[in-house]
Amino acid sequence: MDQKNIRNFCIIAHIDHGKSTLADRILELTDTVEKREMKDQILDSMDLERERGITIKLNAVQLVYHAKDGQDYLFHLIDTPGHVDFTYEVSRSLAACDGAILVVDAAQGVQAQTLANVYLALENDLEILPVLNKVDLPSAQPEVVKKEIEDLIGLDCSEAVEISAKSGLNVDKVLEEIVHKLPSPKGDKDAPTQALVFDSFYDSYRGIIAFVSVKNGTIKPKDKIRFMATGAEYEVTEVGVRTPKEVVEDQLNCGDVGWVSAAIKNIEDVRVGDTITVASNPASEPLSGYREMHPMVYCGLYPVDNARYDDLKEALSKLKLNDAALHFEPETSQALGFGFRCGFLGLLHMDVVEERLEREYNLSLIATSPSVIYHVYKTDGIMEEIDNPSALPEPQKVDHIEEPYVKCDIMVPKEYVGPMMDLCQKKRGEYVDLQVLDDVRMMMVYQMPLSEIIYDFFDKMKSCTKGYASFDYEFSGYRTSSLVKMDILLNGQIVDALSTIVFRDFAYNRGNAMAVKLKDLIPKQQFEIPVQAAIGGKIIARTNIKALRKNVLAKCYGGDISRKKKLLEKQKEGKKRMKMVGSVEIPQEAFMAVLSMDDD
Amino acid sequence: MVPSAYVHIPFCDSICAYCDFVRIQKNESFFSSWKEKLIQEIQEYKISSLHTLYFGGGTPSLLSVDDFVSIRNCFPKDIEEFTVECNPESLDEDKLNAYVALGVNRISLGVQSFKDDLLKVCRRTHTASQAISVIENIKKSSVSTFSIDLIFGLPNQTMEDVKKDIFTFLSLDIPHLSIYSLQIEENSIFGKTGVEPCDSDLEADMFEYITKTLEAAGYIHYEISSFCKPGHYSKHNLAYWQDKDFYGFGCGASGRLDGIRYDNTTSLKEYCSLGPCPVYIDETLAERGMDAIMMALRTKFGLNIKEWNLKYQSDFKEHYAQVLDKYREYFCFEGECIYLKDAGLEILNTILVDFMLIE
Repeated sequence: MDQKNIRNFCIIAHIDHGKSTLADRILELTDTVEKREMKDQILDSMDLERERGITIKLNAVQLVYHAKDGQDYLFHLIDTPGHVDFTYEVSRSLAACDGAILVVDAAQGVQAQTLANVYLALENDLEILPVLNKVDLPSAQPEVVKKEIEDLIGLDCSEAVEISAKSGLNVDKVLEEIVHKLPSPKGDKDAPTQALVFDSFYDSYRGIIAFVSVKNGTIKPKDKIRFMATGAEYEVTEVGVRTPKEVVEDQLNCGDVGWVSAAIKNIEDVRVGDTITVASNPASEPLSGYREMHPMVYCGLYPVDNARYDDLKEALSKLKLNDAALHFEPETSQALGFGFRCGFLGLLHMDVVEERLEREYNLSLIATSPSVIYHVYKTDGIMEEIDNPSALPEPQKVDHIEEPYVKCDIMVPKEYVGPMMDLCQKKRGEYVDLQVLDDVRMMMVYQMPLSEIIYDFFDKMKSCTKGYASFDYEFSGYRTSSLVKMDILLNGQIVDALSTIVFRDFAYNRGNAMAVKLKDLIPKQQFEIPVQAAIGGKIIARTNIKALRKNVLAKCYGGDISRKKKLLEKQKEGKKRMKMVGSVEIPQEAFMAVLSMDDD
Repeated sequence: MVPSAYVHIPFCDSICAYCDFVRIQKNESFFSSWKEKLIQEIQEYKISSLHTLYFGGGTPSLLSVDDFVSIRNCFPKDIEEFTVECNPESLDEDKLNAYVALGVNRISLGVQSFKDDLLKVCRRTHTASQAISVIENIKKSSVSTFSIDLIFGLPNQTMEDVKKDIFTFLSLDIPHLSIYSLQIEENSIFGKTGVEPCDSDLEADMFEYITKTLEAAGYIHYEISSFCKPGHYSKHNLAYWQDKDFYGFGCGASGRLDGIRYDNTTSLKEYCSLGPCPVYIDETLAERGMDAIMMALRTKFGLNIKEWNLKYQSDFKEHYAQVLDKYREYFCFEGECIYLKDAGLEILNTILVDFMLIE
């Protein structure tokens, strides 16, 4: 296919504005996927994605569009996630594209993540094609939303297509717009090869497969390719595209988006963001454009069964392969044994990784409460970065502690500004700005400690705005705060994995709430268990888990044995998932108690 | 020889709120083929002698005397203990006398509570005074022994209610009591209507009161939920708890032959057309050993370690050393036997789970 007939683009949108549904319709209209094979949101190939209705891993699909001008066009569609945690995934897919379709819900209008994604696209010099979705909803206001896009983003919307991705209305027009308004790839087929690695996955038969966007030159089997950052060299065994099925091709040309298999065994050799070149005629420089993403949130992950430490290590290494933002290193806890300190972009990212480890690798895990990275300045003048509360130095050795702050942009309907301000203040937010966006909505800007956001901010925001607020944040710097380490004692013994770093003024409330929550979560045992929260040596909250007095099946005759045994098996499975700390059995959920307690 | 047989009579007039056994409102269209299949099932074994026989349900006392006779006659004439479960509303004097004449020597009467509003909560169709008059009739009859069932931990039941029930029980001078804490079974009406279980501390208080009071009155607490006057043990139930084989006949029955347990179909429709369709439960020797522990520790007789070691080719004390140590203050050893003290019986599930965790 002639390079000028190729279009590489992605779809960007706020969560739930319909990008995956639009992708489905495009696949249908171009006969890429037969109707009978069509599952909803076909690009979301992980079960987890389809269940949660979110796109986690980006997917690249090649399709052929027969345009109204009589010519065939080769589209490479890259689906992108919309959630704030996955900004790094978006940035990777954007770098592989030349244009982007911006999907905005015609009823909800521009949301915080719409803006965040548009800014990323603009940074990557992409041509943006605005599209209004869900125009068939009774509450749709396409004209109002168009004006909003023009005002807030500065994109001309006079020709924006109004569609319903669900019913397919006007999706054909979007395809024509892609042909006429988005640019073709600019690279040179005869130049030294430069292919951007934007994703990779592990295949147990073929090793590591890299997804690439070929910016210059070609890649074909038998080529000796070099990963420019790591210097690793491999001989290509196969190349191809996804349609979304895997199809083997003779070669990948400049402008193509596809996969490269080269019997790569070493995970470390394939870094997302690296450039592949061909060793016989290497490019002088790698491509630029990828941002390295840094984890914002850390937690400990431990196998419930200590014998599965190596399995967890292997699973994390495999996930890391196509999740550049996942960081991990070994750590040890007195309570939980050997595990890993893992870094994530945010809470959803953490959740998703944990769930994938449990589901895809059949691991039973204990996750400790998430923590941000604190800068601890010691009296000897040395600064330590602490992402694990139990590693906090003794109070007398600490001069002061700084914690990360983020700038939050919160879009909220006017009537919820009051409750939202209360919430931000409660979370130690510092008012920065309040702007009128349109007749109904305001944009609130606050500086807030990140630790308050990972705690329960999302849930509280949803409940105090009936789900109408949207929210985005970016790191804005470190600030000194009055912070203390709060320990939890069970049966008189500190459980290191339950320690948290809290704002001093919140310590009493949180200590109480934590003790009460643990009382709920930890099942009664043969003896009474005191639950205490303490700062330094001082107990600030206390409650008791009463001793278990009765746990017996009243009836058990000949016909009951099977059923009662099943019941006991269930209790046994529950117990297997508990961690013995000292003489106390603690269920997994207890280690995340801090996230689900109510301290109002 | 298989010492015991259980016959399940799956019919009821009405469905009690706590029950999730195989039971169906009596239905004429099924009844004759059910009876035919049941008789066929029993006769196949050509049983020549039997130690204990138990008709449970469901509501066995719903059967007409004729139907009862034809099922009963599939078994040998002399049976040491022959129990029939009865409900107060379906056991009149004539039926009772007919039972006695047919060799029934033990009645198990479903009383559940002596308080009318609690009976209503349970959806029982009799009153407390009806139950009391049936108890008086049983006492006057020549049946050699009998038992009643009571439940505690019912929705909104108070400690006072339990005390009254125990007082009434004692005043009626009944030789055997099975008293169950309410278990909310998923497939029962209570389970489906989201009834909350009784507070576990209150339940423990109730149980301790019951145990203490009955023991003081001369009853032997010989199994978690069973109390009797000396000599009035349920021999049939002891067979379950003491690791014996037993036949299970009828739709919804379970049995055990040569140590292998089986469950008959729970579908009355299937039973009526195809017969019992037993599903044999594939258990390793170790799993069967665990079954034996689970049952034996329920009783004051406990587990005979020597017999268990021989039968299950293991060393109980060595294999379970960890559990025996963890719960050492709950266990007692006497001769070859190990049994649980009262406090241990009350947390038997917790202890059993630890046994099960040892592979």
